[in-house]
Amino acid sequence: MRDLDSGGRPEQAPAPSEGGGEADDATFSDGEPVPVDQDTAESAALELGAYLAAEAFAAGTLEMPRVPEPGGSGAPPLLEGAGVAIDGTWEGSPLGEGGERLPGSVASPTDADVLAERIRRLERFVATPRPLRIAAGGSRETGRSLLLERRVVAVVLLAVVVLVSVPSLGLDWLAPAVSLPNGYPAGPAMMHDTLRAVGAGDRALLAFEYGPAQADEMALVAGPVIRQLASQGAEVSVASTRPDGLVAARDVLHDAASEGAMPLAEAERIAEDGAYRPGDATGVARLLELGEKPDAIVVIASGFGPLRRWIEQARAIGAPIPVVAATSAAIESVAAAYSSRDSGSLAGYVSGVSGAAYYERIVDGTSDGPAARRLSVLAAGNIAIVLLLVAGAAADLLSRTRAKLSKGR
Amino acid sequence: MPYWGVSIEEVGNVVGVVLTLMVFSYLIGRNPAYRLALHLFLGASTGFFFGVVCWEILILRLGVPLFVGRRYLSLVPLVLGLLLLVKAFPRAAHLGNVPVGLLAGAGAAVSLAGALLGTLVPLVDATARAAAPSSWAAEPLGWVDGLLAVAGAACTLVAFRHIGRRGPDGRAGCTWPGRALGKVGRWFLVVAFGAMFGGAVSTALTFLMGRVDYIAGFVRGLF
Repeated sequence: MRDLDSGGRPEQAPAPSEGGGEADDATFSDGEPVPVDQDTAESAALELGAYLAAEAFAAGTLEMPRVPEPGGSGAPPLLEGAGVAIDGTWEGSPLGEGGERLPGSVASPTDADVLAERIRRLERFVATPRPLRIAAGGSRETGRSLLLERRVVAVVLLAVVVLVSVPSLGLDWLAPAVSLPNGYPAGPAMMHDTLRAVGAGDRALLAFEYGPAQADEMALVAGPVIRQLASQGAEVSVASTRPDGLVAARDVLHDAASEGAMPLAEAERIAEDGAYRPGDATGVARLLELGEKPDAIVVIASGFGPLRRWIEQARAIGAPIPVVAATSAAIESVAAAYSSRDSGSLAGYVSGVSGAAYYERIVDGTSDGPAARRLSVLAAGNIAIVLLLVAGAAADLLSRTRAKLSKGR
Repeated sequence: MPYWGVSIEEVGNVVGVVLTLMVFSYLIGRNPAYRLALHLFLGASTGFFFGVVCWEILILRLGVPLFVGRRYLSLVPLVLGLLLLVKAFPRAAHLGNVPVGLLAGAGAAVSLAGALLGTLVPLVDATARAAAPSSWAAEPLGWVDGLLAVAGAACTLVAFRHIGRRGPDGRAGCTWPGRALGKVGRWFLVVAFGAMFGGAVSTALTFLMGRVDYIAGFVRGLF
């Protein structure tokens, strides 16, 4: 076994195939995502196939080459299907029935060999970076046009956001007049009703599952929730399965204190007493075991995974603890599924800037809160995106038509 | 605490604005300023995470109980942790399979119970209830909602059916109802992904607003 005897050092992945030099340079210098060519896709698929084959072999579901009969041809039997991927891996170092070495024969691998091979395959599959190369039909033009498109989109969005969000420029009249419609969507209304039951002395556990990078959106969503709980005299505690979750919690609590929702010392104490446990579902289960059972759980999450884990683990402990969520707009559709009237997994949710604006109006009774003030900018940005999509589609249609016409000539 | 008349918050604000502009410089292509900001962010994040894990886990959850509280049961996670480290040495790597197995087994057990009780059962139950006419009266056009939920769930499941029967011509494939339902299911998937993409765009716009606000606030503070 060549690699196993040499200490199991993973083999280096094969170098990119011919013609990769210039193409690689183009790819990495521009940093553009480019179509993967067939060679790369095939080699990645083979690599995955090799790993899966090693897994299947280790699980005993794949037949490995047998030790040939003494006097036989000595050629290892052919493998089929996924076995092709590991054909040639198990080189001969074999002994015959009498302990004699059989030339060209194949060893019967031991469990240790299997394990080492499995690890080697996994390491190679996971650790080896696969350089992307420009497809055979592609060129630097593709990269340039993508870069141009990216710049146009970014400049347009930046211009819209700057013009609309900087009132000191005196250009806020450019913003479309956006106001919230009357009435409330089901999610925020349900959430408010659920949290209204958390009164003085009741314990509300706030799970902060986002980091500083997502704070621009999540702080807007979390703010009114904390203000509501503080105004009702609920005993708030914070927890997270992310190392930076408690930093985000501290910032939001400080903001709430600066707005007068709670004393600064109280905000400091809550942040100091925050609990952190790593380990995804296991971490959530450990956090739910800490202290006395909460009367409500508020999951403040920017991603779907943490939200799902908190909902699931709160159900798994068997106690009927109401769970509500304050989420990013990106996972609103997922939160809505959990919040349907029949599933009952989520007793309400708010998501994104518009959800936060609704919740501000319910809690604070104002339509001019921090989230509501951003609705105009969000609306202007959305309009700009739609216009960009239409312009892009029109340009694409035009270029296709032109290409067809030139072909016809 | 101010140093030379400048508070640490002011320094932080300047650094924040400069780093934000360095990240925005990606608009003119990958450049050293963007890469520097990226590396700084990754390095700082990694360092911070390492510090938090060291303090919260290794010191508070392992060191203090073991060396201060004399709770020798804490030796078990310590030994398991050390066994995990030997995974880096190929000849002794098999010893690390014990903690890996424990982690995978415990994680799977915890996740499985939660997934069943928190996701699978409630969502299947909700879908089944949506099909019942008695639930349609709860809201206007409830029957449309119910039918969409049931049809969407069924067709999407069919879209992921990859088992077919081999026909007389030797080609494997589904029957026409299966193919038709699968196509409908794929459209449901397209609509769901579109909704999620819309949400992601909205989130990205909110981030952009936040950064522009941050820079605008800094500039206003200068004058």
